[in-house]
Amino acid sequence: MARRSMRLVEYGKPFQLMQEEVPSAPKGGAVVKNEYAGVCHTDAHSADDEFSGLAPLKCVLGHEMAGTIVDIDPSAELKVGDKVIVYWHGGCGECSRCEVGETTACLKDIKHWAGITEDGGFSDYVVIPDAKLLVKVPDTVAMDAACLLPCSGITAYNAVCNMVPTVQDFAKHSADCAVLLVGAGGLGLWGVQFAKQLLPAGVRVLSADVDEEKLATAKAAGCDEALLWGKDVDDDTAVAAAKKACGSLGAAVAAIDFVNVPATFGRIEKILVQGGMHVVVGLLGGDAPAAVPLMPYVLSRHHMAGVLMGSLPQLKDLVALMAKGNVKPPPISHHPLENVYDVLQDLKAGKVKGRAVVKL
Amino acid sequence: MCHTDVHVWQDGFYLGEGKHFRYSERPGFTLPIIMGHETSGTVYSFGGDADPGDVKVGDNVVVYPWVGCENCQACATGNANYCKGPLKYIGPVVDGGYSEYVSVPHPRYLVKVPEGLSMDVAAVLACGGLTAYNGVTTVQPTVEKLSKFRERCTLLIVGPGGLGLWAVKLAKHVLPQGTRVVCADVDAAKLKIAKDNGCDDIILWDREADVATTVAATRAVCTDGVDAAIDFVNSSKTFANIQGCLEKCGIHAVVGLFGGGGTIPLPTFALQQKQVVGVHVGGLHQFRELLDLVAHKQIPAPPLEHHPLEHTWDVLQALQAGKVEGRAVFHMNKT
Repeated sequence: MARRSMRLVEYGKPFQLMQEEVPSAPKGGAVVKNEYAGVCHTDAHSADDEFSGLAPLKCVLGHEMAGTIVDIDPSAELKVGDKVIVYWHGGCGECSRCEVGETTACLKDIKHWAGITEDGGFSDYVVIPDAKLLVKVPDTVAMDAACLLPCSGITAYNAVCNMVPTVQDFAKHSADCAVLLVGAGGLGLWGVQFAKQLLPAGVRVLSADVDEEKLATAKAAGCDEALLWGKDVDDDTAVAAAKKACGSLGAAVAAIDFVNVPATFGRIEKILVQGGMHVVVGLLGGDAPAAVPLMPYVLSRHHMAGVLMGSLPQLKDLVALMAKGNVKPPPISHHPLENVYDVLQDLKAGKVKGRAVVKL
Repeated sequence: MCHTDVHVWQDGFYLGEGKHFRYSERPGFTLPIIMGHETSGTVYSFGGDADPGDVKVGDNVVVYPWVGCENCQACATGNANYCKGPLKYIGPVVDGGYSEYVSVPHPRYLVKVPEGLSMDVAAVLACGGLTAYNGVTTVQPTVEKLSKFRERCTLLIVGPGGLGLWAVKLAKHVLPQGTRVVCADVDAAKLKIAKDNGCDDIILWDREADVATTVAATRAVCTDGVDAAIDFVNSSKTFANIQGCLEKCGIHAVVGLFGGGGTIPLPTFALQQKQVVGVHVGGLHQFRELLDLVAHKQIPAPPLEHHPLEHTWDVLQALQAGKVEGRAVFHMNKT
């Protein structure tokens, strides 16, 4: 099979379009003909070598893939012709963590990350060494939305799942709970929808962002209130407005930070209720560390949890949830493969509304 | 007597970044005040029309001191830790136990002392014991999960003092069998006591050493890595040391009120899927669980020094100077 691939040939420079042959499926693996590949902010980190060589040169990036199986190990459960998404975050495949699909905690810390450490979705075909990492897409789920599930979808889903126990607990004692989602981008928009689906009925979802247009998409995604955290809004004003929006508790019972820089971290800590849950997701923070005042942290009984992706069983749960048809995906724009590097630059500049995907 | 009493006497804590928390600024706090929030005794009388439940005059009880405003839904259902205030903690805010009699606002805060549990041990469970128990049960779900994938997990207890020693013993009863309990401190004498109280291993941390050195030394003892940590000191240094030692997916419970600030590199925190949780005393139902556990399993208390009521001031000074081994308790009305 011949394919076009966009390869990373020099960090910080445009990808190179190559024409190549694609091998057949390796033992235990598969070849997927890609239909859509999501463009994720992590791709920008990889391309600019912010992961210190984790994404090697010559790699085809793109880890949010949806397509059709064209070749697969005969012993695999799935078959040629099946429409699938790829759980890209492979581990060693052998340890007790990988066996239950918790590859983010692989005991040998081995990375088979399609689209980061090895070839991925910015290509007509992708080789997946472990066919067990393919998940079938139900007919009722559109393929462009499906491709987003294995990264942005599942990360937002896992983040919301992390909030659920705390929110359920508070909802038992208070009829008026609110949660705060910071960052109305590719993950935040999924977060709004999943919060509405997974949290107890009546829990209000607040969305905060620096950009008015992004907040408009958050409102379209169903958030109850939008908070503009522009550069001209000082911290005290933003905190007071957020607390007011939280209703009678005067504080959010849980929050997810999809941005995760010291300023958002500190602001959330001030808005969070005693005993509240702070889910830490975003990877934009760079080197600047967040300050944690230790004694107040004890007295406030806050809980912070770092979330990275989700497990393979969680991805399957998410696909089942999507099949029910009640979750609205973020707005999705389609782009040809040749433009993927430019789209990545737009994403870095904050110019992408909702999600951008490559149509192959 | 608890180290919190030192903070009450000094009017507060250093919060880090030049800020202070002051008891004197708490609504409803006035001097003079009778301190003492770990109180056990016999019920003398009931007032008003509150339902005493199964507690009767003459019963041996211990007082749950973490009382809220007594005027909200959380307080009414025994969930005062969710109360938004004003808090009426018995001992640090309203009159408490350094007295022959103490007044308790509602019978729900009296917990009968189970058979087989002595009154001095019951008293110290109300603050130190309860907080240590809450610390252990907070890390429990994570340790149980990780135990499915590891041969054994390691719990690091930093600061095996009045609370840490309870955590050592309770961890052995609450966490999965085989979980390794390791204690770290800057004081070799305290570590010896920790070993005598059942921890599997000890590490002497050097106050002057930098984080990298301390982490390397800790990893040499915790050869499987540290999956959970409870910090009963909770200073900038111990926070940094623990974050440096903690494995991927590990949980870091912060308990101590030493003061100072920690720092967290945010993207790394997300990538490593770590957790940090603040633990402060515990709920009423947890208190009952703890009393039953200690009585049922006959868990021995850390060494208790008995002192007459008249010596509270001297003992407070000794505690502040770090000279109390185990726990100090005051006796009164003894017949």
